[in-house]
Amino acid sequence: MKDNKLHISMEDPELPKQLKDARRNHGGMTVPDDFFAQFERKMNSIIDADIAMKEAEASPSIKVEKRQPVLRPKRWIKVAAMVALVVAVGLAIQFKWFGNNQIDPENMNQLAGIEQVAGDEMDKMEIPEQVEDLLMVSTSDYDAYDIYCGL
Amino acid sequence: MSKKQTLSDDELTKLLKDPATRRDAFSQVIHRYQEQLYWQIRKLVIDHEDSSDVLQNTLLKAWQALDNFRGDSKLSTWLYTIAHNESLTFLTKRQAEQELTIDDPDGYVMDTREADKYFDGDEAQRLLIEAIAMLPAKQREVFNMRYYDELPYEDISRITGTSVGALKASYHFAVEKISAYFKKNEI
Repeated sequence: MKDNKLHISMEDPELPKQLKDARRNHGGMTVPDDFFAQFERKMNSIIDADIAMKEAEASPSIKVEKRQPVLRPKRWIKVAAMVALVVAVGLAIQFKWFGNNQIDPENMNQLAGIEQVAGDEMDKMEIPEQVEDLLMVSTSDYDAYDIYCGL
Repeated sequence: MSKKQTLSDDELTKLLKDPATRRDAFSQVIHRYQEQLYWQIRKLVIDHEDSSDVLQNTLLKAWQALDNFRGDSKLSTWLYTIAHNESLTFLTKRQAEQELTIDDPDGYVMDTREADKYFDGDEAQRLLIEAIAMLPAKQREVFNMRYYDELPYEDISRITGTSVGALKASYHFAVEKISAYFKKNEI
């Protein structure tokens, strides 16, 4: 075997027997049984799929009905409607609660006079010492008022 | 089937250029060239499953690029060129994935050869595959086309875009390296 020297000429390869065999059988590499027949079928399917895809791309696309615009009120109409609604509700409430009974300006003046008199009377009242003390220590006017009312 | 075997490459090329006969003609191309292309790819890519994927890409690209085939070169040379480019693209991508260099003798090709389950060669064949796998990509490719496929240098030149002189030099270096590998392993 050692005498069988490897000699591969560039133009006329003269190979040891094993390497001639190697060339014939692809260097010992093999393929699964029936590989080429299966591959041929698979490849033809791929080509057919490619043709179908190109035809689909080339064919005029299905015309989609242009979508009819939905009639939608514009925003300012919505805002105006809301404002009108609020005004209407406000008016309704006003008429229901107060009706047409506007306060007479004369009565208003009378009420103001009564309040003035009551205030003057309050100033004249003597505040008990206890209350004064409480007013001094209390942190809240409301607390003081509660205490004053309690007395 | 008989028609598939009797059509010459020139006749097939004419049929491929006619849109009406293109599809049937390409079926014949697949039938006629798939095996040759597969082995060309397999000797570079080594693994069977990867070779099958690369072959599929090769034939699909050939189909999609038929309009660009002017018929200046032989149909087989054109197909070999596409297979060559697809194989190198695959190896480059795989190299990037595995962070190996394409010329790394301990890299992808050797590992793949050892992992390939579709190999039942004897010791000499195993050594030859290993020796080829250790070649730089360019020399490996030239050696495969010249040694296994017995392509003339002119055709290899068209496929690889390398001058005939450079191809002869590459083949010469490849043979020297393979011989040295065999001597080292005493065959």
